[in-house]
Amino acid sequence: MVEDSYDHTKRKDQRTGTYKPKNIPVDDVMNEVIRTFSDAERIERKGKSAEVVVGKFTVSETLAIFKKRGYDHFVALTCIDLIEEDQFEMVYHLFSYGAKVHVYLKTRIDREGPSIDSVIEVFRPAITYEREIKEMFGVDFPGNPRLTQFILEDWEGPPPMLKDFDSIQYVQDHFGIKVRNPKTLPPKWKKAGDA
Amino acid sequence: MSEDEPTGGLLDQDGRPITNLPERGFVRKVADWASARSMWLLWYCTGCGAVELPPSFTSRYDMERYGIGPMATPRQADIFLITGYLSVKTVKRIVRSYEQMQDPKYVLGHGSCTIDGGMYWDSYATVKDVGLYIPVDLYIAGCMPRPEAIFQTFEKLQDMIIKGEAVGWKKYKDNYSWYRKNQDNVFKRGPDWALEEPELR
Amino acid sequence: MTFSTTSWVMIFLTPILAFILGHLFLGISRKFTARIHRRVGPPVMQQFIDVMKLFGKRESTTHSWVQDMGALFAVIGVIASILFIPIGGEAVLSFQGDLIVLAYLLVIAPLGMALGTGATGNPNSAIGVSRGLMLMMAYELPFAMVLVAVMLYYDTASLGDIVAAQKGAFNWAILALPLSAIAADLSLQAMLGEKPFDQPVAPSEIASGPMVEFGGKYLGMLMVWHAMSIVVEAGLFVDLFLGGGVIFPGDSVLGLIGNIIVWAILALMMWLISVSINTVFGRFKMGQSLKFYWGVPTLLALLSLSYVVISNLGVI
Repeated sequence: MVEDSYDHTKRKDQRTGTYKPKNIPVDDVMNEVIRTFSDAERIERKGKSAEVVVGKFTVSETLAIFKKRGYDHFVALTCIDLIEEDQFEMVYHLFSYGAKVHVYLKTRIDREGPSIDSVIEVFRPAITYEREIKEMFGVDFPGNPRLTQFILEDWEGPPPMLKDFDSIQYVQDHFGIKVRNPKTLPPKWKKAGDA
Repeated sequence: MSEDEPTGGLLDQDGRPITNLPERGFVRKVADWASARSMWLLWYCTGCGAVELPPSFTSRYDMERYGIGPMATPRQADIFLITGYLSVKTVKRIVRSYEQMQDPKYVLGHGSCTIDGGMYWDSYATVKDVGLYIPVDLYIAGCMPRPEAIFQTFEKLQDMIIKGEAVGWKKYKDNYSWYRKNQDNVFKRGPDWALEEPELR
Repeated sequence: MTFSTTSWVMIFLTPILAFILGHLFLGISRKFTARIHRRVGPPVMQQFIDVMKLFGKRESTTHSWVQDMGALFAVIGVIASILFIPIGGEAVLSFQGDLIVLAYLLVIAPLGMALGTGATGNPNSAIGVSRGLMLMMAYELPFAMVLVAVMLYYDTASLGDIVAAQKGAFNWAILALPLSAIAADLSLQAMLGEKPFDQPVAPSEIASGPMVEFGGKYLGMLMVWHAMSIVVEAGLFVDLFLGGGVIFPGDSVLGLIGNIIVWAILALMMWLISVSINTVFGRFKMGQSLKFYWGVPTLLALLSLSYVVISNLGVI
């Protein structure tokens, strides 16, 4: 049986044949995480969601704890470019079908030579998210075997999702058209040097 | 083929390729007349433009009364209808499909995105002007163009074909090096592209 | 079999007639389908314009000489088979056993196309060809039984004799062998490649199958083949079951022309029946087609065949 050999944290209900997800309150798991890792810090949120900030090197272990406790849906991995603080914020989105709680696991990494260990040992689906973030933000994930070019074919420029990526300049350089006078552009497109 | 030297290309004052109208005998005029009455579309659905085409094909507007119909492959088609924005990845496929089509072939750019990028004017991932990479005979402006606009374009294209003015396919052959330079600016031709370079006549 | 001057003229006129009729049939069917969809539809002459355009393209890519030969093979095969079909009671080539020859000739044209499309190397065309051959395997079984039943019933293997035997009021084979006629009409649906049996040419699924790499004059040749094969197949049904359209005495030229017109109208009717089924159906899967053809049509053909055999034995 494929279902039994698969390492599934959900329990199969023998009577109905359906999976019954674990229902563990998020507060219990959070307490366990904070007990285990001294640098973990919980941030209060409203509604059915919880947020925790952990250190860069304890992400995989924290995710493993969450996974064991029923928060086993790896929803997404996102990256935020905090250019003023010279850091990237990585957000691991988790969801529990039993507790019906969304967990945001956050960590900060340096913007210079960004690198964070891959979590594919815990959540295999992260392999594609990490590939995308490598392409869009230039973050390196040691341990991920598949950090090849993903959506941007034949891309040679800097990672395009960075805040200091000059989109208009890139368009003018590569697509052979002149963009309008930058002074007439809306304010958010003005660069710091422009009057 | 050496890529640096132009192959007899003509550029207008804006640096856009132009070409001489081909001379046509009686047989060619008849063939062009038939070509205008029977236009088969290669309907390349990129972006949101595809939603305007089902009403054009079906009972409401009935494209088939002009002899226009969708075709399955580039080899069979006469018109390349590009419906919407083209990402850099897509333009590769567009060029490849275009090169598979048989002369005479015509390209219609459908929607603002094919003209100057439209709402993606500053996007790093979409090309702004399709006319840089393949010769576009007519553009349909609008976001999105209604089926009425599409039909007006088809009538205009029919006129152009009958008069012998729709010569995008010849432009591509005459100015191939110009188009090739623009194509090489945005993508690379991999080893799987084609067994040999397209033949120039 | 001696060839008179008239025969030589007919050898050239018959394919031209089939060409014109085939494209007219296709044009009418497109208009017919459009009206069912509540559309205006293309002009009836649209098919002629399409073929004109295809042969007028400036460029036609060929992959190898086998592709050229394959397209020619298809057209020549269908021209050869039209010569065996009695049109208005008169076939160009008619001899004892021509129905059996025709049954083989009908397969030659599709095989030629299979050869040509195989040479293009596109996987879609290979899928289309294999589907076409599988479909042929499905509908040939009931159709072969129908042919045997008709041959036994009229005790001849010549189409001309079969048509001649049906002369007269209410003497058509569709009344004598109704079950065979139903089985033959069901087989006709797949033979003509109309829905629900258009799996070999499934435009949205395998990108028009065998024709996927054909453009310009090669596609034009395949379209000519398709148009003429409609005339051959619908005409074969008319000759087998509807008395070949022979209403007027065929010894005068006027009578012959009248017979040809009646034959064409009957063939058009058979084609439009097929087209109307086509309009309201989706596409079957291959397995469903095989199951269908080896079910009801085969049973009907078998019943009819056994009826003919038993009545020939003199039991009934």
